[in-house]
Amino acid sequence: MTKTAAELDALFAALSDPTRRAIVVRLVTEGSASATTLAGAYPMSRQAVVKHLQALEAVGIVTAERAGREVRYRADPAPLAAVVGWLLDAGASWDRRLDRLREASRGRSRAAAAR
Amino acid sequence: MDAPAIEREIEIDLSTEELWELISTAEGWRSWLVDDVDIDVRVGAAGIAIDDDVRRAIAVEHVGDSEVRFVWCDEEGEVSRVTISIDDSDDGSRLRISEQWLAPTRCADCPLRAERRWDLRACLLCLGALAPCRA
Repeated sequence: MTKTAAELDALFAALSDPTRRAIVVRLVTEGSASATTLAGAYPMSRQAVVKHLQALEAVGIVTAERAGREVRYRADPAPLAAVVGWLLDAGASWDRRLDRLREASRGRSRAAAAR
Repeated sequence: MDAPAIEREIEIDLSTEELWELISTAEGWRSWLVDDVDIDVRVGAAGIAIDDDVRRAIAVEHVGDSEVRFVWCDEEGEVSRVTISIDDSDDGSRLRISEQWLAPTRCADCPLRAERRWDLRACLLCLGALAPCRA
């Protein structure tokens, strides 16, 4: 895993807010957008949207780009991919352990039947 | 959003008494959970396990009532809590696993690292004392 535990912890903290998750989903599905555009989609001020975007930018999920007179925000899935990688690795490890547990239990069942 | 967690549930063709031996003893752990471990599985115990070529410090938090719970930490500072519980099922026993990532972790900032005295024994001290590194 390329990110440290502390970085990933900050990532999940940033995503603990449902509005931020909604903003990320929108940026992923509909592409980059300005804070003004996003503010029109949610019942909150532009300043409130900017605060959410800054929190997401701080953990690397969102990147700000200047386009002429406006700042546009786009989603960067790389940090999320790191988390998914952790989950996949951990899940695969448990699947291997449980395969070994099934085999160990079969061994015990065979031993009991032989007695 | 909660910290990420892995959960699994399987049926095992053993009685709960037989399965309990596999989840509550070091010998049982070595048969499926980890490649090697030196620990007496009881509340407050700590030890080092080798898990798929990864060394982990383990601190046991709970043993009893058909449930074993421990915290483990690898050398990268990843800390998680594992809960293994069993109960009766129609075909033998049902086993549930949950591994929950603990947060925040500060092992990477452990002062013992800077002093070059850090190793998994330092993690054991932290885990055994309910993790001052994670305060």
